[in-house]
Amino acid sequence: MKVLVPIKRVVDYNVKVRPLNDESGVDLSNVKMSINPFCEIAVEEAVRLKEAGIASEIIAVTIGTQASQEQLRTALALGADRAVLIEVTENVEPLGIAKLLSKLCDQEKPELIILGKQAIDGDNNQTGQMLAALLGCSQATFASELKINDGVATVTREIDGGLQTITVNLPAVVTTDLRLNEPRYASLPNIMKAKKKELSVIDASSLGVDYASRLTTIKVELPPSRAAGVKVESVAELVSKLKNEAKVI
Amino acid sequence: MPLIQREPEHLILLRNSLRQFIEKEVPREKVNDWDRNDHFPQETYAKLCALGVTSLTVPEEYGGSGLDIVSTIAVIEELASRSLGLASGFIYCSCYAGLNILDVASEQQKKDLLPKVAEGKLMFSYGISEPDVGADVASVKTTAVKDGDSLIINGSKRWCSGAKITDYIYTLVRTGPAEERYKNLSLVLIPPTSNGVIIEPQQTLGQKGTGGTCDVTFNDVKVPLNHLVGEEDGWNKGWEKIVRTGLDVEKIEVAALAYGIAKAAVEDAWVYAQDRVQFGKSIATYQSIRHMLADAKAKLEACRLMTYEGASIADQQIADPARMSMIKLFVTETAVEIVLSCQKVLGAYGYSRDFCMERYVRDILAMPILGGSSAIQKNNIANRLNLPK
Repeated sequence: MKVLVPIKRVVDYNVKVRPLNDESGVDLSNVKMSINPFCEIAVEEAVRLKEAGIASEIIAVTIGTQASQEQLRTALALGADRAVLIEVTENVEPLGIAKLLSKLCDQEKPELIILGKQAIDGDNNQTGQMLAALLGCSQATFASELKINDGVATVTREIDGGLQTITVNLPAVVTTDLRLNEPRYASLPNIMKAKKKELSVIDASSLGVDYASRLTTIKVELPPSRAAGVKVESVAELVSKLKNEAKVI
Repeated sequence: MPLIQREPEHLILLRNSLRQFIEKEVPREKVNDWDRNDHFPQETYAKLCALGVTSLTVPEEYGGSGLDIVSTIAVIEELASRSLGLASGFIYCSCYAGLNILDVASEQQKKDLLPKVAEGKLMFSYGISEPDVGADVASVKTTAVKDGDSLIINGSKRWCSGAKITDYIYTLVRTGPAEERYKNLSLVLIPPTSNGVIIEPQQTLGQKGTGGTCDVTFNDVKVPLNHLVGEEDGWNKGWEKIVRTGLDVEKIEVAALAYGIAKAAVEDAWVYAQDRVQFGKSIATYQSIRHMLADAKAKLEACRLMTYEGASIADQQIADPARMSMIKLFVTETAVEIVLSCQKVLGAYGYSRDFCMERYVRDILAMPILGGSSAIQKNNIANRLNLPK
């Protein structure tokens, strides 16, 4: 079974981001970049499927600039077999990403596409769902457990208020939630092996899809800082404030 | 001379992996506990070794990933910026054991021992200094005599780092008359668990959780003859073995420890200055603090450049002992300045056990002393550059 793992290069989760002075976006200069944590979980799950003898080949893919090769190389060091960079120079929105990925799926014909439920930069939570729609295949989002047997994936999903277990026929798109697994660290021998693995680059414009942006960012600013709270002396005072000042009861 | 270049991709990935490891497995609270209890974290160290980092000083034919001093130094830096204990364990294995075996051991010893280094399962302490022997290394008094297939060792060693946790003490011994000084020294591997070995850890200001800085006494300690480093060929060859690249690289190892600690201090002070609000604004907005932090950053960058220049020189097997001494001198002394200025940024909190800064201060003070003091480095520089006496 061939597994495709789309990943995204994002600002590392430890970085405190700041808007640019002209408010046109987030300041990315000298900022540490990493694989999106949900994507890392997707890579780990694919590697575990391969170790269990279920997956035969893992292909990591990203859409980005040459700089994204670092994240692809990390995926290779974690256990992916080969990597594909679909090179773009501009920002691509989830629909554009899904279209480009669906073109790659036409070429690669993976039986399972596993990716993060969302990226921690845009928090869009759209790519997986859009990709499944474009491919016309099943989808199982927010997976916290994945089992594959005879062309059927049994997926436990994290939904509001609990867990839901569904089965989907392969090929399918699965998006990963936080509790699916705990990713391994890339070990030095695997980092060295990753050097020799294939990383191919495809020019996005050669795939023949329209991935132009449809949205315009007007302004990026910090959320307003919260005003200080007040201490109340009694329950009666609290209820009165909730009723008369906050007007919530 | 090596030019400054972008780090190779495998090192960028290795640093990322180590930082993830440190973030998850080596939280500050744990490190503070190890420090307070003078505890070497065996379990965490074993997990670190599972990443394969100790194979960086082992050639592929002995089961390693190929000799790579720059990456080795980077691992020391990354570990030291969180835990001096883990960084020390790594050095005992990769550097004290790995680099020395590779450089001066016999082929059989390399075959036996280097695969263990690559797996992180072999650590050496240095047994060079003695109660009366510091910089004048050729005056060691500990003796080894042949007795059939064995060596009998008598004497004592001081400042054996890590002797509580290591597998062998890499011991410089006299194997002939004392007046011949350099001509009859040999190196012997002595397990600290051998009969007749007494280990007494010294109480020190810092460097807690690094396996101790120990006094070691040998009373008729018997080891097999093949524990002689270099085996038969190593008899009376201790001096030439010890002045080879091993001690030069050790200078860069100490520089990397100092740089790692200083980097952590600057990061902590940088964050603290922004969070701490006095007189209605963060102290990072006051010029006196800004200048302290800016100075610290600039000095830190100089330390980084010198440390990696040294690593690169070692990687290319260029013998340049004067430069190595300059790097050890400058980086360790400057790192002390950096850490002490960062401590000032934290005010009283920099002196409190509740913050890591206090530990950085205790640990950094050892760096200009160990691995050849600053005074000795200055002598080396002047002598190596042929300044007339």
